Amino acid sequence: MFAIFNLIAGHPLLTMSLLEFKEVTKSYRKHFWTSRFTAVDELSFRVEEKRIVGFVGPNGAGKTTSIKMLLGLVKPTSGTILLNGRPVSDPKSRVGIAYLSEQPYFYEHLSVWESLEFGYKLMKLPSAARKKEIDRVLETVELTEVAGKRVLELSKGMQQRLSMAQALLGDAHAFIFDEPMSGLDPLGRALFRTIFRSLTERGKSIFFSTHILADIESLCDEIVVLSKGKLVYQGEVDRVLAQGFLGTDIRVSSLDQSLRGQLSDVGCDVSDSSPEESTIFVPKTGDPEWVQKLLFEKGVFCKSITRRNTSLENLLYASSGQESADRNGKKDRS
Amino acid sequence: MRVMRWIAGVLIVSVLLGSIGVMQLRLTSYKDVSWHRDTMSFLPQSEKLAPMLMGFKTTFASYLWIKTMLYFGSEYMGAKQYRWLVTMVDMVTRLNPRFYPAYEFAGLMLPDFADNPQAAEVILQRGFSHFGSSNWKIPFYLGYLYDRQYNDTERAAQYFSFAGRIDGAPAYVPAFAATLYNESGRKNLAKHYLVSLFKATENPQVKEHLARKLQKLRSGDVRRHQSKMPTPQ
Amino acid sequence: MNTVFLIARNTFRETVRNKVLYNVLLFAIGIIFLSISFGEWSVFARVQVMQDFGLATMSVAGLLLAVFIGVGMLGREMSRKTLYNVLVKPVPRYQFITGKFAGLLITLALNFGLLSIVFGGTILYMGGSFDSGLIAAITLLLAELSVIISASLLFSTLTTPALAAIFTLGFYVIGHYNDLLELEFMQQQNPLWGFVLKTVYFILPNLEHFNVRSRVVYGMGVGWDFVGMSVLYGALYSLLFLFLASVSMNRKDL
Repeated sequence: MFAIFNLIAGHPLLTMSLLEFKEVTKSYRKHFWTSRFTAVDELSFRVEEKRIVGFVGPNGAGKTTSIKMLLGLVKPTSGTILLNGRPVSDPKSRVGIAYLSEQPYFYEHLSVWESLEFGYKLMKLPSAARKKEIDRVLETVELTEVAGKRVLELSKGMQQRLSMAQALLGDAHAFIFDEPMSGLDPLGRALFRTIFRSLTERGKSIFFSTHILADIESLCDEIVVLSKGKLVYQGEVDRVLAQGFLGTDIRVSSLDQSLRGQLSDVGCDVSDSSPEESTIFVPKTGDPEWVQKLLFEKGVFCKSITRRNTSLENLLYASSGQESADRNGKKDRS
Repeated sequence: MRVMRWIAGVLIVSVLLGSIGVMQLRLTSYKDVSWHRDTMSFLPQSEKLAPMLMGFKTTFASYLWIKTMLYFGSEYMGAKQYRWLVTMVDMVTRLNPRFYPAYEFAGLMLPDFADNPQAAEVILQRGFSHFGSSNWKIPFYLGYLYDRQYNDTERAAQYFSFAGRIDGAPAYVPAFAATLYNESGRKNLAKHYLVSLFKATENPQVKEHLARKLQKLRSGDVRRHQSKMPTPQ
Repeated sequence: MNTVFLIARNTFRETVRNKVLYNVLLFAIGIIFLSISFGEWSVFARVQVMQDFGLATMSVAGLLLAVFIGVGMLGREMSRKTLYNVLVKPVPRYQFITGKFAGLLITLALNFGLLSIVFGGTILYMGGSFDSGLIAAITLLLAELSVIISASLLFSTLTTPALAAIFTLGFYVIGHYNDLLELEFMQQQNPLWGFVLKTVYFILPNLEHFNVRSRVVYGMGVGWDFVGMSVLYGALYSLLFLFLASVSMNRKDL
């Protein structure tokens, strides 16, 4: 199935690749006496230009390592990585690429303005437009008022916004974001979403890692899923969502034994979240209206009725067998 | 590609190391004896101290010199034992053989205060080997030392005539040699010595000492050193 | 080139806004002023003693700055990941290293300029003269510092900041020991051992080539050809260490 997805998603002849991983492996040895740890294992995928691609996976899946390899900060143990059609060992591969790291890293001795100025100059952009461009990005991320402050004095969220400002400098054609939403307050998240949308409208390529699935559902065209350093899935987000809903969840106050038996006879699944509350899951093959009627007849009060969609999460973690077992295990215990 | 980079890297490093070796060789051969003497002279004796001081041998010598002067002052005012004086002056001149003031001090003060003309001789000879014919005062002090302390007129005369031939030596220096050589006119020699030494020094402690000696000589005081002096003929 | 200059300027800015710089600088100026009184105590040869102390102070201040600022800086860039700011741009790592080096050297040169003014003023006040010999001595001190900074950058790319600081100090000590090694091989009877010592001598830096304090202070003079050769020697070493630092940096996961 995934093979088919891959075929549809990648049109190697139609579009130019923004980036490509070819059998990339990265293994570390934290100390010389510890055994090697494989962060990224034989990873191969490609991302086309002018698309918004989510790079998804649980913590420790190897997303950050992959992104660092993509930017030439970390060297792969084996395999090749291309960015802008050039091997990443060539600094020129990073021309026109903007990067936003998971945590903001700034020179503490510089002010907000000086940080942006330094970034601007490093990109060798025309100096005549410098002031205007810095003003523009400061306005976009709403930091104009703190332009003269030292970076050290900013809050974490403000620093993250400054990182975004730096990424927006100079109108890059592709953006690589590592967990861009982390450390942001709700307002900041809304701001970043707006920025994402405006970038999309201007036809930019975005490759960003995240473990917030809502962001993927609302922002991405395509996802690349990583688990334990291995590629587990790559495909269109629409397609994943189109797999439809799984069934209906009905939250009720309490159920007696006979009713439980009746429900399980028709294929419903009952779970107790507390002594006073249970959830009845009606699979998509079942009839939720019939169940509702039954409950009404028995005098059971329905607290809520929600549709359970095939969330990305389920799909993603189902696709990585072991991972999903782990997660279910954790759920049961909690 | 990878192999090429390795070769290029190794090549660059070898070229740089080669050039460094050449420069090292040139710099080493540039440094003539005068650069080495100060290292050589103390190497057999104060091997332990020198490496610890790294590049700061002369700095330490300067520091030690200050300590020496302070020590001398405090002993002069108090106990008058001067037990460490010789060691300190000796160390200063070993660490920094170009430190002229220490030689003057050694030549004029050690025989009197530390009662150690032998030490003065060793130190002055060290100075003589370093300064050679670039400083007339050191052979002059040696001459004075041999005449006054060892009563060795011939050697004293040799040093005086050596000192007299050096640029900058006052006219009276060769005269001393002449006086010693013909063994006449020794009457006023002691006084002349003191006057000329007084003129030559800048060290106020030494000046004061010489002035006092001169005064005593003029007033006909009988002193320790006079017993060694040949009676005027 | 522009990039190197930018990084150098940023490095300079960072050091100028660093407290350590001012502490060391104040300490050095303090010692130079203090050396006036050392000079007074020494009764005579005052100017010489003062010059010797002044030059020694500059040498130590330079070493301290190179170790505290130089070593700490690259280590901090790596541990705080601030170098991402530069390296995610199309900037090769060797330019980053070169920029760091240039920035540190400029900082130290300006500090030396400042210290030289204080030092020169003090000498003039004491009735001495600030002659070409002193300029030669200060030039050579800077050349020595350039070697030390480049070595400290190399150590920083290889190990932790604390160890790099120790290695840099060790490098300084060995560099001054090396002169003794030369005497050792000159006196060596065993030809094989002599050859080994000689090789080590020619490869290890001899920092004594930059030390002309005793000659300058006692007016023995230093030929400008010697100064030129020593500066070239220092430049070659700096180049070697910078090259190795770049190679080491290139292989590093950041």
